[in-house]
Amino acid sequence: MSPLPSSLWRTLSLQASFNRVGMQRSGWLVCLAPWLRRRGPERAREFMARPRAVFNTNPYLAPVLLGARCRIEEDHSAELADRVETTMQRTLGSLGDALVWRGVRPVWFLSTALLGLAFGPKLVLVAWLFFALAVCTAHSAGLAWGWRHGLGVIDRLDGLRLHAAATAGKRVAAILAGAMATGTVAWVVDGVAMDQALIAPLIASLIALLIGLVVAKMKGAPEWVLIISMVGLLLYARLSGSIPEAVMSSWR
Amino acid sequence: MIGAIALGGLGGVDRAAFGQTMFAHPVVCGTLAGWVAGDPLNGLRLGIVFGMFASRRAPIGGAGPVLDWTSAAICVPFALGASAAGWQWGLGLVVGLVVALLGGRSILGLRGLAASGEVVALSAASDGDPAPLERFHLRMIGLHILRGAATVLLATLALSSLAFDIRWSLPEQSAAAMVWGLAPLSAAVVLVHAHLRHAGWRWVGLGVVASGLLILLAGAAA
Repeated sequence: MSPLPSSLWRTLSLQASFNRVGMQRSGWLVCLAPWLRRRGPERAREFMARPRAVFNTNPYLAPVLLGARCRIEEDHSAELADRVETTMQRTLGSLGDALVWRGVRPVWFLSTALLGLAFGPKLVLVAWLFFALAVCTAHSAGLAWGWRHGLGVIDRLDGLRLHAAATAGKRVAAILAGAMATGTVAWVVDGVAMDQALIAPLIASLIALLIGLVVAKMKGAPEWVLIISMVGLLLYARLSGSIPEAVMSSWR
Repeated sequence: MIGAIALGGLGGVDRAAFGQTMFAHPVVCGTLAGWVAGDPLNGLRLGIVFGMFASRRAPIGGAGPVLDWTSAAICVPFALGASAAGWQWGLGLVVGLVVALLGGRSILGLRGLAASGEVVALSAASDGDPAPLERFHLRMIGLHILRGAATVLLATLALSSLAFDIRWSLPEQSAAAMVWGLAPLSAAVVLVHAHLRHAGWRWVGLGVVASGLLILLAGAAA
């Protein structure tokens, strides 16, 4: 039997039964199930009977909490483990959200997209494999790390300077977003064979895009950019009567 | 079609239910779907556009409206295949938006199902045996796979009949071709707007200036 309190498939599927009421509550209990069985039926009954309104944390950092929580209960007391669970889920939730959703994932997406555009689609799949391996490693290493350090995890997390890493990630993502925007202009212009016949449709397209942006800003939903642009272009195409063949051959 | 269903199922489960390894990100599943369907470059392009749109909303704490960009990025390359014209990809892009919205609704439906199922499973597990919860959890993983596969299957069938069975007039085809040509620009605006909110002009501007200089230098060297 593994000395760790849970297994990889359980931590990877923390959000499978996510819902708006208990959020990750069921997933968390499923992660804890092997450890509860090890603790004996009395402790399992007491643990399961305790009402839990909600459980929610960042799924990539949850294994750290899982390992630490189980270790604290074995080394100290169930009350302390419960208190640490309640407090740390919020801390790791906000820290992980800033680090992963605003830093790591945007940086990964934008660098993968730029590499894919520059060197071909194969690199996208290589980048995915790299990320998938990193996620599996982070889950098993996080669980082992939390289990090894128990209550010491709180001080050690502070020493990892994750807040600084989250800020740096956010800035790198913004730099890459700027690069992606410039690359996109070059990409679109490059795709259009410059032709006198294309000037009118190009102006019409840009006007449609601007109207779409204004509506998107008012509605607060980016999908409107594309929807309004499309309606504008369709109207232009209908009203203009003659559509240059260049449109069809250029925007392939 | 088997490839579409398989990718839809994998994308549906990786999105949030198992792994979250980025397989469900539109840039990965769009490229992979394009590859299997015979047009990886357009699959990558579609994935990047949807990825830029998706960057506006981070699923923090389960907040905000849910959009299923994964199914959208998978169904379009499979419906269009290897020899579709630019206007058909433009049409696919718009249909993809609708798929993302409807797919998002189906995800919310599944979450509602999980909420009611959880009550039953928790009550069954209150005697100390977590087995009913584990069974419920595994069933939810299965439902996520089924939802992804079914969404992609239905969307692929609908889009392929729209793009190939209906005779579109030349003006409509031209408008769709323009949508395909200019979609990266509109998506880039959404992307920049999202990062401006979180990091400010300074860092986005640095990226614009640095990449602009790089492009100019590369042009001069060529």
